[in-house]
Amino acid sequence: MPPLNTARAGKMAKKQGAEKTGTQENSKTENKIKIKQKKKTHNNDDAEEPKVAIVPSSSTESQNDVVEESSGEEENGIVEERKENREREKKKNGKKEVKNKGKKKIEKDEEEEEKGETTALYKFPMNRVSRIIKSEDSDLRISQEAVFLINRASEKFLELFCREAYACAFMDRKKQIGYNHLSSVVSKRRRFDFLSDFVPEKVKAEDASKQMSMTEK
Amino acid sequence: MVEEHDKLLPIANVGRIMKHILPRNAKISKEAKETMQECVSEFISFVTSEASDKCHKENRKTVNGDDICWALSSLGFDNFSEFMSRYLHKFREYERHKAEQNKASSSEDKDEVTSYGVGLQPDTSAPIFEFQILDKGGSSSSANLK
Repeated sequence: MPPLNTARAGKMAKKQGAEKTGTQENSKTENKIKIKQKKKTHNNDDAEEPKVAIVPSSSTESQNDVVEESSGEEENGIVEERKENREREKKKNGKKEVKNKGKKKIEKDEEEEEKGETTALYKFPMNRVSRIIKSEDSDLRISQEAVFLINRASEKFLELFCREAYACAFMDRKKQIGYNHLSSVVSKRRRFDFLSDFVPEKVKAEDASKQMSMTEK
Repeated sequence: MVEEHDKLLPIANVGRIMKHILPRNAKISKEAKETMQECVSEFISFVTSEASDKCHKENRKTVNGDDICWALSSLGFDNFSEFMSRYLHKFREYERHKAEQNKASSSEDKDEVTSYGVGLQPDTSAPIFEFQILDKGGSSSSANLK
């Protein structure tokens, strides 16, 4: 189905699309993994599905809702496949006004959806994770499952560190997490000892020089 | 020539995960986000080297999922291990589903899985479908690869 250029034609198609989405939602879940169904129950974020399914008046409005400020770098593995499925569905719905815009919207829809999927899929790009692993030791042999687990473990680690840092910022009566909160967590918690060289506490130059002169004596 | 950013995870992903778990009014300074990026990369290296050391000691060449689980608990992240078995199960389900889809569609090369890199190998204990990924022909049976 060729992209519809006129706004009117677009609206007509959207109305048709809205009716179709009922069945398409089902096919979507068939195409994707069963976990998608679970995702709907776990979804605490703002309604992501309705943005795709039911489009109100103008398409520009719905597109504005979906806009995120994140950059283009995103997960490739699973997103590519689902992007294909999405693209097919979007064509059927006739929502694509301009091809480029449409694709961007699909990507952003995917991003929003990825937010909700916390158990089955990974959030960091697999090839980037494996590149970091190889930079340590290029001769290292590692299974795909292990790379996947590292991917998920890094995500969990980030969440853990972030929570601790926020707790620190909260105690400091600040709403913004700053570097000093991270360094505070690293210095206080044993499990973050491995980061002590990477996130040192910042000291004022005069204090540092005072300390150095004292140790020299 | 490896760019510095290649050794870090995308800041967009890092930022999004942080925003997701923090309250709505919480903010993160740019410096904190960048520091987080570095810390996560360091975490990856840390866990990998621990798992790799274990493999060397046991005279094994390939680091597998169990080694990662072990490394996590040995480094003080034992509560992660509980989640890992769940994730692994879902990952295997997903891989199985993808393999079925590959079978159903025409014999195109699916490169996304093979793009993990030269040194990566499938789990020896993993199900048969993993060998199909190595087989670029697509049509030949997995029995040949065993």
